[in-house]
Amino acid sequence: MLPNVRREDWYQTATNTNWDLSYVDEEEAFPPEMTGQDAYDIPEGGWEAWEETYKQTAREYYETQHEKDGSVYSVSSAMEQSGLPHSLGMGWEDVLKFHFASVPLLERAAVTSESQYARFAPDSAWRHMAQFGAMDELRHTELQLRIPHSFVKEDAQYDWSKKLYHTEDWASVAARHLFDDFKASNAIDSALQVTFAFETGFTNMQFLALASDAADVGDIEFAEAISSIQTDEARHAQQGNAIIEILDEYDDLDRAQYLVDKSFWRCYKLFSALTGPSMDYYTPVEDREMSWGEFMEEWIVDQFLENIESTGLEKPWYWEQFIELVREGGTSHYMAGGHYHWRPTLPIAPPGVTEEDREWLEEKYPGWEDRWGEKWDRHAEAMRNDNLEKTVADDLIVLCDLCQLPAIHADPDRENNRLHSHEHDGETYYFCSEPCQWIFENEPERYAEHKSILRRFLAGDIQPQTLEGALEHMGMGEENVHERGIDFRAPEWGDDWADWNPPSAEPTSAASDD
Amino acid sequence: MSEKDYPMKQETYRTYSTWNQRRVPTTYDIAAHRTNYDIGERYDGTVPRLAVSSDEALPQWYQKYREGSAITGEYPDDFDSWRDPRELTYEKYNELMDKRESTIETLYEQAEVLERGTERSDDPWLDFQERAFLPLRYPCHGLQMIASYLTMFAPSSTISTAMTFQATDEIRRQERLARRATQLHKEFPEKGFTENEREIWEEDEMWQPLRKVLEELLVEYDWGKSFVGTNLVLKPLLDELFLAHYSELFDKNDSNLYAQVLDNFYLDADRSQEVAASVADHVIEIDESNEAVVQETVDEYYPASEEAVEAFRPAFESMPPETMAFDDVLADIRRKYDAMLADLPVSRPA
Ligand SMILES: [Fe+2]
Ligand SMILES: [Fe+2]
Repeated sequence: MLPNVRREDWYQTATNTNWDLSYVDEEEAFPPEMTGQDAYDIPEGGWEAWEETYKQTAREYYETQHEKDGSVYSVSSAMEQSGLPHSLGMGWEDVLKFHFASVPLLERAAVTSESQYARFAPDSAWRHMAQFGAMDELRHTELQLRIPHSFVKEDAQYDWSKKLYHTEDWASVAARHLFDDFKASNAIDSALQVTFAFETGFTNMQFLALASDAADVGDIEFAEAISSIQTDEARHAQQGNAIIEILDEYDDLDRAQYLVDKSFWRCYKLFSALTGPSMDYYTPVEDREMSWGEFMEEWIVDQFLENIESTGLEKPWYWEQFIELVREGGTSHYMAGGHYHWRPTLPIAPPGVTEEDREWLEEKYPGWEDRWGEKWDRHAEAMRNDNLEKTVADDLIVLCDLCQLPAIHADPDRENNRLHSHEHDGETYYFCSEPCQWIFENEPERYAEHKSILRRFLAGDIQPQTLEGALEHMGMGEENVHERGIDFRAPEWGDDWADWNPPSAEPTSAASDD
Repeated sequence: MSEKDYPMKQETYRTYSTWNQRRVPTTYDIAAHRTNYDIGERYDGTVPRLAVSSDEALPQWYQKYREGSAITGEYPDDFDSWRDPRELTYEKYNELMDKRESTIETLYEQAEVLERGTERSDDPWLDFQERAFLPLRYPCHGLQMIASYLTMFAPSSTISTAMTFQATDEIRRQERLARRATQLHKEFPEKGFTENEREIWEEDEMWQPLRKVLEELLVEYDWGKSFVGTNLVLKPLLDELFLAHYSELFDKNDSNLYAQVLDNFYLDADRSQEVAASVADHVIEIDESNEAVVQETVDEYYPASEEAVEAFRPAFESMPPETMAFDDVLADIRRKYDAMLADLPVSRPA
């Protein structure tokens, strides 16, 4: 019988399987455009020092993942007869619908990215680790397609869990613009953006922070599933740190810095459209503990910054304006208003805000009433006057030619929020922010070809050139009319506001008299 | 407050509307069907469906090697309609593999308890393992890279998923082989286990034909030809050689424990062969012109792959203490290969 050996004894032997190719060109087997080696200045053999901390083996992987799936699916089947999540109310269902529409197929996109590293990363230990990353992402795809599948029988909007990214809905266009940007990169560039900026930063928001809301609401199934997912993310996200360590060793961090700055901003924009409204508007107010802004402070501002500074990188150049935006939550409030106003374009049922909502929002974001209250007052007034249609947009708005989200924050006086524009090849491009413009200007040839929904509309690619035509283009046409977003509180909630005075305003006799 | 008639709750679905086949979808279909949204055309007709400029390197690769593959079909439906005959989901795969790996652990434990003579350790047998067996972790890594490539470039998420599992299969072998090399190194430190395999893989003549065809397949970027060359040619031949016949050889040389480990790996190989034949069958069914492409690719890679197998004649006939007649081994490998192709309009080149 041979002596027993521990993982530490053999792990390196297992993962160090680089060899010198001799029957084909090294360049042909590891093309620079796929690996990224040309874009960095690491000497021959330098990447072979690549090392991450988890060192999980296949044996351990199968065992742990089997167990994790076991717990998630057993909670899921125990919940089958519980009436979850429909019994938790339409607001919480919006959180779920939004999550499931946007997440599972992006997880599948991450399978592609991880597989790219598993094939083209410049070191075998990295390729080895990335293969487990690909497996993890496959798990996340599967899990988050299986759970909402049982909901489509109750509510057609869950159908978008698999459908969204196959459509040209604006949310699909915006999220794909970011994830395709990752996907259409070489392995090193892609991993820096996906595993470092996105996974060590933002997956915590979507999976841990949201899991805490889910637990408060009582959605045990969802809480269990997404917190289990985050345990995988925490492991495979380590790839990014391992890359940065090597780049740092050879004093070659400039490109990494650019990519982290770029992708961090892009993730922030996308998540403020997705997670922000879910946390601040759709989660039932009584179950909201922390706001999107507070979660951002904790998970992104504090932890991610610490993370960045523990590597040789620096915080992004736009950090000050980013912090200001986070604190006031502006992007997220703007998006929540936008989701409401353009609700037929989304497979959720975003509600008008209630009195409790407004108190909570003002408490969490002092000044909210001044800036956003009036817009909701106008919606409420239209409701009271039986003008439901007036609360729904009948036009399109300027979209950012980089992030594809609305390009104005309705606050043109502020430098951060004014509409930015830039000429390229005789064409004027519009941006929501300075960082988005900065990204475009750095790589105009990469981004200029893409047409936002608005550009398609103006170019006549969308026919007929009406709002209905645009809805049809977005996958929300006649056939899918029942999937369009509605205000589930309408029209009654408008009545709640007849005597309403915002908490920040002076009490009037009508309001103080109860 | 009265119950409202929310339209999304009135008109609902039985399953995801992306499902366009007649059968009732299973859990596998829900999880694996049509999950890759970059396959096919952008709304403006550009291929592939990626949001960055189509002049960028990655979109060009997809255009050339996926949608532009020698294997043709209508994207996405023709390829999406392929389904894994075993309907393997991630959940099922892990469960299965956890069992397989536990079985190996149990084998080790039993051997220890029984203190059976499960490990022969005379010099020729140790030399055989060092020179003819343990370098195998390098080609396993090569095959993992190819399966990972196919995960990226497969024309449907169903094929892609099967390739993700295959890539992980290769990793478990790679790890077990490294572990064994380390055990041998600990027991026989002077022999050079773990230290010499890379050089043997790079230079020993027995491994060179294999390394040659493997490296050529690494740069076969057309997804269809990569798939056929790897899954329908090189990999099944290698799996028969290194798993089925090495198992017999280990058994003959009083190394029953490891013979059983190889048998355990063969369970994965069996799945890959079924997937290979099933995908080949499917692509020929969707477009008959694919039949010639599959055959030509088999013709292109078979001779070099068989040469790679034949180079291991000494591993059977002269290196180990107990030998086997290699002609019989080769005849059996061919027989198995023919059996794999039996239901396909494709044949082994003469
Ligand atoms: Fe994930
Ligand atoms: Fe991830």
